Amino acid sequence: MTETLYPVVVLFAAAIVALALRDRPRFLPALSVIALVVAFGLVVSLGVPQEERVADVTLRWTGISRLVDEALLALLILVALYVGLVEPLPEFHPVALFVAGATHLLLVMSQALPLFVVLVGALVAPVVAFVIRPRETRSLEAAVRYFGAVSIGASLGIAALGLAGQQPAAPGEERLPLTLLLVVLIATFALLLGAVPFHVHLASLTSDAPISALALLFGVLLPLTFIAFPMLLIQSRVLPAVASVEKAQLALSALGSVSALGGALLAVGAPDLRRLVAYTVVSNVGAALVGLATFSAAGLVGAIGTMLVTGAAATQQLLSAGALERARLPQDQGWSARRAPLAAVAFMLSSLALIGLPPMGGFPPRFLLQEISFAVAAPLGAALLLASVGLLVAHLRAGLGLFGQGVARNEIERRPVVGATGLAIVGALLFVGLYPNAYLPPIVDFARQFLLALRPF
Amino acid sequence: MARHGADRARADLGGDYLIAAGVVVFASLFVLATRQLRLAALGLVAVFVASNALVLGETPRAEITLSGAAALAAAATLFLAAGEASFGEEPGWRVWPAIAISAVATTLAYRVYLSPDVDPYLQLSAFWLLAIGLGILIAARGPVRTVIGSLLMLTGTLDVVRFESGPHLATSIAFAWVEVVLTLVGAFLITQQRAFEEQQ
Repeated sequence: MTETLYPVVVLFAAAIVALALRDRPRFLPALSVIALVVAFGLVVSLGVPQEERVADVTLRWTGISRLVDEALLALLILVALYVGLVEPLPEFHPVALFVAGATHLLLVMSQALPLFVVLVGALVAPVVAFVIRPRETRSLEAAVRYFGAVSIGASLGIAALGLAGQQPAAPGEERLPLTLLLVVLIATFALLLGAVPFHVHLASLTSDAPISALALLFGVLLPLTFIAFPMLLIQSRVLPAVASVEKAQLALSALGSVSALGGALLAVGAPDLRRLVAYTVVSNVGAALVGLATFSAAGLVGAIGTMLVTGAAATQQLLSAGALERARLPQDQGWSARRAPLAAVAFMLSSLALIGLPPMGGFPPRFLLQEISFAVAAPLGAALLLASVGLLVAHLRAGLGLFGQGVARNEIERRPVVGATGLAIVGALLFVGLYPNAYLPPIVDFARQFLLALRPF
Repeated sequence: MARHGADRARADLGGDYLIAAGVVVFASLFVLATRQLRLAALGLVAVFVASNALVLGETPRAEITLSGAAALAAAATLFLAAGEASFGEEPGWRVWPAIAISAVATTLAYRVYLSPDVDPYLQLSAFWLLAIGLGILIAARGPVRTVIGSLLMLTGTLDVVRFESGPHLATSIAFAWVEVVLTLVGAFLITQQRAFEEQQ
């Protein structure tokens, strides 16, 4: 057994035990948190870089793998704590452990097809945690719709990668119509990422699934899916072709800007906090796609940085939305910070990171995205700027609504768990905002690899 | 060299491959049109067997055994998830858009991606399964048809991967893994649907 796979073994074993212990919910949260913390420790102790060979696959542990794995595992630990202390959901723990194991496996994979297959497994697993009320069919219908969308995306993606794998390595000798292949690949990721107009399956989930499952999806899996996209492009043989096919860049930019603007507009009109967060994530996915489409170091660093910060901020916002939902009384009108002020404060501070405002961690990558998109084409930059303004309006509106009724000192929640997770996440976001070198160097290294893979000859 | 040997073997067995491709098409149509989940699971077994038969000469036995075992596990899981013989979803009008999508998409894919280096029956099987799976998934609303569509599509994608002859051990393991994960999650959705119907 190779050292690189230890976290996977620990997490998958814990997932199986958690599945067996579903009927004993008292032990589940502790098991889940301990396994995640152990895996986090193992990940931190792994030296960078490492390369090992298992079966016919090379496992590669790099700086970006470590950064992403640490960030996502830390988020999963916080969400597991939330589930253990606030919102009991026995189905969540095996799913979270499985997703954590699959995340690590994905990040060490160095071949496109196995990487994508692992991603599909990670994306499908949360369906189990989406169905909250068996007596009502809405959450079941939403879960089925999500399952169908992921299945279509998965199969089209695997087929496109399989066909791409048969291409000769040198550009210009392609046997298949590459443009169509690339369009299928881009459509696949648009579907998996829920970019506008492929976001319907995510929109239907937001109002019906439990908060912790949504945090798993929007906070962990969507950033992971986005980061898997450039990794996969490097490992497949299509990257030089992507750069040479102008239409592919155009398609990615168009998809990104439509999603950035569409997501921001939907966020402005969002009827509740869950949807506000979901549409903001969709908008940021669009902005990150624009950055990727520039095929530049600045664009890629901005894109990956934006998605990591979006994952953290969205996780906190969804947990805050859950706490505010639980603190509501039947007679309350709209959303209010009256009974959960700490959760509401954490929500608003995370908004700064999600929109990309200083001093939070979202600012440096968003600035890079904005700058490079204006450098590539003014309309592209204008689209991202408009999206930022839209998100600012949406979150300001939510903030005014939250604090409009003041705080009820006598009714404040007794155990502010989400306030505590908010302290951790907002603190981390503030730190990386003030000191971006804490997380940007591995992303810069990855961008360098990407550019090398883009022009290998 | 391996490809040359396989070509020779293929020339001897051309009729058998035609039959296997035919089984893939008709069994998938049966899966599309049947109401009972248990019958659909049996139809899926036929699709899996015929699909693997198409690559018998070119893919290592270990890989075929692995994907066959995963496919059997998937079919058995669906069979058990059905609970009773009559459980399923009425296909109704959903059959027609699925057939239309699969016919158009197969023709288009065959026309655009047809490669002279790859066995035409394998290509036909792959494109057909991808297209019919897509057709079922687009028209599906309930978990039964969604799971069936995704398994058909996944079988088609495995065929696409096998266009390139030779060993794909890691890919086969990954496929078996994702097939089992998809089926288990699908079975969970089906049991939830059954529980809901029983409460009605």
